[in-house]
Amino acid sequence: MKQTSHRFSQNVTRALAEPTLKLALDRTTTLLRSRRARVIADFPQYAQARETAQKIKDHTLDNLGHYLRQFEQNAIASGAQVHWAATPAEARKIVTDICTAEGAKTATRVKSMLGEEIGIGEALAEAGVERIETDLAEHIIQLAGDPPSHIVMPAMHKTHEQVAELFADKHAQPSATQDVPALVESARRELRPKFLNADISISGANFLIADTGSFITVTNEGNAELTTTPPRTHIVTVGIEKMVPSLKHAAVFLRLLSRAAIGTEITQYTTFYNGPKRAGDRDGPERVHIVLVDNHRSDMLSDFLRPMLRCIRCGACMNHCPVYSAVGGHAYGAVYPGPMGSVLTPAMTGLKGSKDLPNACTLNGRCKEVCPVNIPLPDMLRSLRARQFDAGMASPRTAWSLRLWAMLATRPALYRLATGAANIGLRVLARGRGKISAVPLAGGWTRTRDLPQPEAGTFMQQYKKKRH
Amino acid sequence: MSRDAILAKIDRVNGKGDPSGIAELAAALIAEPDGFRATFPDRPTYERFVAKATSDTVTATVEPLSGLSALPAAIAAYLTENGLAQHIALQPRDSLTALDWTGFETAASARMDEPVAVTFADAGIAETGSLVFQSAPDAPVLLNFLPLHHLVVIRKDTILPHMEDAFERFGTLASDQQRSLNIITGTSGTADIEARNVRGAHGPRYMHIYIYCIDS
Amino acid sequence: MNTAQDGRPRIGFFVTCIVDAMRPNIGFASLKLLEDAGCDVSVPAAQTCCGQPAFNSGDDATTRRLARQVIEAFEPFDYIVVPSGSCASMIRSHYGELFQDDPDWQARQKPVSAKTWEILSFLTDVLHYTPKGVRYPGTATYHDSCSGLRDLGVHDQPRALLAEVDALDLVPLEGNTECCGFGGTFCVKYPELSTAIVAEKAAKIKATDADTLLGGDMGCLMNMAGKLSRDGSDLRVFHTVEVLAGMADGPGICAPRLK
Ligand code: SF4
Repeated sequence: MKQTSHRFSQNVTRALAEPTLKLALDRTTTLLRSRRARVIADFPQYAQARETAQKIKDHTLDNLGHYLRQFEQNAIASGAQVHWAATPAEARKIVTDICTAEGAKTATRVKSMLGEEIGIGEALAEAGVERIETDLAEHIIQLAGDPPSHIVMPAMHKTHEQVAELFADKHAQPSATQDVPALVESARRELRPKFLNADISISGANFLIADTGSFITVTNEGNAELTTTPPRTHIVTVGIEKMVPSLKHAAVFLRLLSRAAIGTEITQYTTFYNGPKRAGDRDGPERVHIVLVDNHRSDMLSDFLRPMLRCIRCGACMNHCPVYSAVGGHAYGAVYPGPMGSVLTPAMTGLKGSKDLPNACTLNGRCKEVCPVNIPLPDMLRSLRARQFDAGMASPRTAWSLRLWAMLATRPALYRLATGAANIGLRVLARGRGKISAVPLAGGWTRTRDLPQPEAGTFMQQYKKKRH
Repeated sequence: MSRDAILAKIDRVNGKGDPSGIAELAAALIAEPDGFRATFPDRPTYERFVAKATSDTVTATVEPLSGLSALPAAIAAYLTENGLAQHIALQPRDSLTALDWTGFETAASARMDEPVAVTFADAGIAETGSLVFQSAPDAPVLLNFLPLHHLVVIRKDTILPHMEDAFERFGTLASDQQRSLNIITGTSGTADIEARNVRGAHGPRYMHIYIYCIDS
Repeated sequence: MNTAQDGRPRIGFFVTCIVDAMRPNIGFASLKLLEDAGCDVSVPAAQTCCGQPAFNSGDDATTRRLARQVIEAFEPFDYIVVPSGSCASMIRSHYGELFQDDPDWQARQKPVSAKTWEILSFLTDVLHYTPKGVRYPGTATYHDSCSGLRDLGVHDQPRALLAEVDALDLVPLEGNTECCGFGGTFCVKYPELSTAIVAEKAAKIKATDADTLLGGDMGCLMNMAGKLSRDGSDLRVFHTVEVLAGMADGPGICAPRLK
């Protein structure tokens, strides 16, 4: 997708003006939040599971080189081919080369954020391969021509009424009614034949298992297995941070992922894959290619962004983010939206083109609170601001007002004079009404909110009078 | 080559270190699994499995069988009750094909719009009400995904408390792994439109589980 | 340590820049409560701001200068008490990040951070204080400001204190732990976003039966009161200490002055 993070403010204005966006977001986030809260309340071991998960990821990251080598060796032993890509461009080339070598015309795809990150859609288009998205939400946005707006629910920005219109327009046999089950049925009718006839399947992986060489997909629709079983070749593109040491370590995450993402104890379909079909197997691909993608993950390992590599892409942070809930995922203008995206986008594509993302956050801390692997997202966003500030990237107005304010705030006596003067000024503006509806230089506040009229005299002035 | 460059970069940050001892460290992290998984000390494994499998999130139905030989009659009744033709896609596994299927049309693979498939689960997981299917020449994967009605047979003594127990059962080494291990919990569902739960997204809409004890 | 001669805990009161400039009543209500609870309270003159605006703008050098000023002014006291969860959390939870490479200052910062308290939790958790004979006739709802709630665990304390107030009913607020959209510098840098968030908050407040909104952070209260006032609502908005000290008889935040 085309990144538009540098136009964040315009994106926000546009998002806030969209008539049905907020409705669509509210319908989904309300349900996801309450379901998550309920399933976590029913899981007394949650705190320890979360702590264990964090420790496992930290341990794996501490020994990432070891585990990657171990994974590679075991995956090759299972019959898979393992490729390494430092950049999205390299990953795309590996994928298109395989497609060309296979003479592939169609590829079915299981939603994966890493696929979006490396631009798999563009790659397939270039290679002349027809791409068929099989995840229901991805199917919706493919028909609509939209980028995903959420990492678990890519079509969160659409109301069911909009989906109904879209299907009526694009499906061969659309449903007669607009209710959600009928829409799901319509998609089933449309997609079913396509699963069985594709040349290639492409998926991501939620976890890699070092000591078996397995990779895992989790879905609720069952589209991963329907997608990856029939075609003769299965390509997996996956980030190197998805590693865990063993099957039993993966179990810890499987218990957390679905709870955090959609509020269920486990996803309906959890599949462990080990290479191509065995002698005598009646189905399964003949060739399996695993593409291990770095794309700045090894850079993140070396600085304060390291904890971000614990992320299991559950989406809880965005479901609970007030900014995401107000404007949805598209406003962020990048593959990964919400709090985790505001960390990842600068890390993967540079701070210059995504200056606003770390700043457009109230640092309320809810994302960290709900994160199943306890990623200190607010702290990292703040550290990114410090990195920006040190690089002289703060806007001139911010830098200038900070300097003036710092000059006063570090000189208490002078500060007293200034606040005393401001107190008088604000009271003049309030004209005794208790509130102020316009203040020079503070239009951002007073366009939509009143400012209280200050009392006569600052606290320090009044205190001095009273006590001395 | 990107492989070596990526690994070299990681080693530079982490230090290459001595790989001995890593396995022990990793094992210590999960030495006490009951601290981080749902436990059910007061409930027999079987009961927990049934309660979870039939819960309103998993939505399966469960039927006890006196023995495997009672399966064809039970399936015939299910098909009749649901107004389905007496046609089933039957997993080509000896224990199933050896049964008396007189009166049924059976096929070893599923068609694109298969209404009913019957497959054997290799294990159950009581913690979550899940079923485990290991792929094999007589256990193709698609049979579990294509039908609208997924009828599953499981032996009661293969229902295990936790996912970890299932891994133990099938082996945790690389060489133990078949092509795929499916852990299936209920039916195909989606919440992709306004987070509303709908069943029968791409795969099965109904799951019915027959549980039997070994004929003695 | 500088405990008063009579054994009363010596408190350094940090008024915060917003309360100082906008609503001194919160400061005086705090002093009254602390003194009622048996504390010896001082207000060091060398205080301005905890440094949060600089910190959240990524200006760590300025933050450090302000933090040193706070540490110097407040290290003599037994406790530092702040009528704001967010400023208290800045000193208590975030100052540590500033002096990681400076052992001398770290040695001074650590005890200051450890003895810094948000006022409502200080009153309950440390002083075990219960207000007596206070009356506030009305129905109030409560917004839990984020830093106090998540960094300092302030949630039950204000409710326990308010339960002792006569004639006051507390009704639940949907989404009481969700951010109001203030966010310090956020509200002026991203006014549209801030407005969208506070509009939703204001709607939820208005959907309760409450005639009063209470909270523990003047920044957030100012944001919500400003929006409610602009919407034409006549809900009264107070900081919890104003009610607890019996000093909520004047106009609420953004309410018209009577004189
Ligand atoms: S940062 Fe945490 S909450 Fe957000 S997607 Fe990643 S794991 Fe989930």
